[in-house]
Amino acid sequence: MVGVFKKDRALGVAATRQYDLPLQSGEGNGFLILLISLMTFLAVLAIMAGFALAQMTLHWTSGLQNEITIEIPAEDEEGKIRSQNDISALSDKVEAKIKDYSFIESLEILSQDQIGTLIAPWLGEEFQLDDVPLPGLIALTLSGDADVKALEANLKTIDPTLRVDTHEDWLSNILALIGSLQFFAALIISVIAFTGITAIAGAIRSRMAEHKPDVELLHLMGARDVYIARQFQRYAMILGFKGGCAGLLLGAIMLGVFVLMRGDGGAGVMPAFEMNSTHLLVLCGLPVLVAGLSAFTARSMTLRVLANMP
Amino acid sequence: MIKFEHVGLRYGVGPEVLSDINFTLEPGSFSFLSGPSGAGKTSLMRLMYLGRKPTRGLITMFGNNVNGMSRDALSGLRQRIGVVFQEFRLLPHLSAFDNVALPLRIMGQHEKEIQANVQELLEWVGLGDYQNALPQTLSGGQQQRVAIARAVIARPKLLLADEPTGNLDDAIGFRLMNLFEQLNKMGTTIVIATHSEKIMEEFSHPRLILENGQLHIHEPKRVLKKRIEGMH
Repeated sequence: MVGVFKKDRALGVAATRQYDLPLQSGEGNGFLILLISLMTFLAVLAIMAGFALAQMTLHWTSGLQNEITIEIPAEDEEGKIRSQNDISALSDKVEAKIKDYSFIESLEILSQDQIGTLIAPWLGEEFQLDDVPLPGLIALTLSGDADVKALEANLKTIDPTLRVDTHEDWLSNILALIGSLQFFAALIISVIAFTGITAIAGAIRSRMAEHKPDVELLHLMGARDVYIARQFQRYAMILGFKGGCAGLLLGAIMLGVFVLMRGDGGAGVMPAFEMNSTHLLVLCGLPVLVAGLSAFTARSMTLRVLANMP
Repeated sequence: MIKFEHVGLRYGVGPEVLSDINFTLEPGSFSFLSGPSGAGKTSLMRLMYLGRKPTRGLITMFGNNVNGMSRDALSGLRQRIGVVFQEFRLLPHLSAFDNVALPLRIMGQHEKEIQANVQELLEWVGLGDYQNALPQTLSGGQQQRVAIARAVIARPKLLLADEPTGNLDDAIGFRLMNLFEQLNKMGTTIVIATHSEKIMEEFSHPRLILENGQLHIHEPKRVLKKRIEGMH
């Protein structure tokens, strides 16, 4: 018996002993654990989606910052297909013209093979590149003070069809899309948290109604509100922790299945998601967070109900 | 100890079940509360153990006006009051031991002291062999003794008992009344609500008689005689 009290005290949830009220033997506990685990499971998925989107944003923005591409279109001004020799000659002209610019840190003329690798995810590995007229691409890395407009104007003097792609157009669209997806992920997590809190608050209210005579008795014996609230708090904390662990496990299994099913599909188009220690910490901390939230909800609800007693 | 001044109580919008109640109980006094069924004895007890707030009037307990006290202070006050409920109100999932230990645990006493005190008291009320028994396995009389033990375990300054001897045979009833007498001699103020004329005759103490929501105080001749002797 004394050991039990020690454990309770170590948990910081009971100053003297475990329960005066038979909360742990209630009939709806299993259902509440199931509900919390499903909420946690959904939260795990939403959080993982949020992490993946954040990593995607980081990958694209960090990879493309201060980088531009000069494109030599596959067709000339009159609509004729350029030969590879023409494209190579134009590439060399461009290189000769701009290589001395002080704001150009690096310059790379992409070979046909490199361009093929870039478009392979869209066209497939088996596709014969010789059948397709490919443009010429020159990748530039610029320093912070680059004057891209002046550069583009200068390039137009070599050939008016040359284009400078700063990636801003498509990147801003993608980032806007990712931003809205992240917002929805956060919204979903908030809705899950709100639903979970409401469910726990409802369960606590119903437990209090179920044990009203016993709660009243403790109150009449001089039990302070926090003494009674601590019992509901501990009860909710344990249920929350169990549900949180179950939900996390379920989420981990689901993600494992997803990774297995996905295989290499999408590799190259989408950056690969790698879990880092922060992600792991957040996920492992989820049951603790759920338990804390459950305990806080239970405490608030109990104190609110007790405030109506004389 | 307890002072009621013009206290009234009504439930909801119904009529007043207690009206204009005035009385004072001195520290260390022993009183019976009697009256016909439905006269408001339980309601008056409820006010005394701070289970309800009066709809009007002033209640002073242990020198404090209870109307102006904080919730925590009221809890502290309740810890000084022991109550034996008419329907016992034992927690069915707790053993006799844990039921009796409850007030001490609420007060935050150490488990070692609780063990010793509860065991001793359960032995005293004749339930030493039933410490681990759940209330539903005990007879009515045994449950009542557990309820009484629970009410007195924390040495309350005020003990309120609602028909405490109702389910007990005469011998045990008188033995428990003697326990109340002993507690009273140790300074505990005692109020016992009872119908039993036999007990009120045997243990001659002032009576608070409730009739139609009104309170009358009756002092038995023996008490008056003692008082007059005391004055001389």
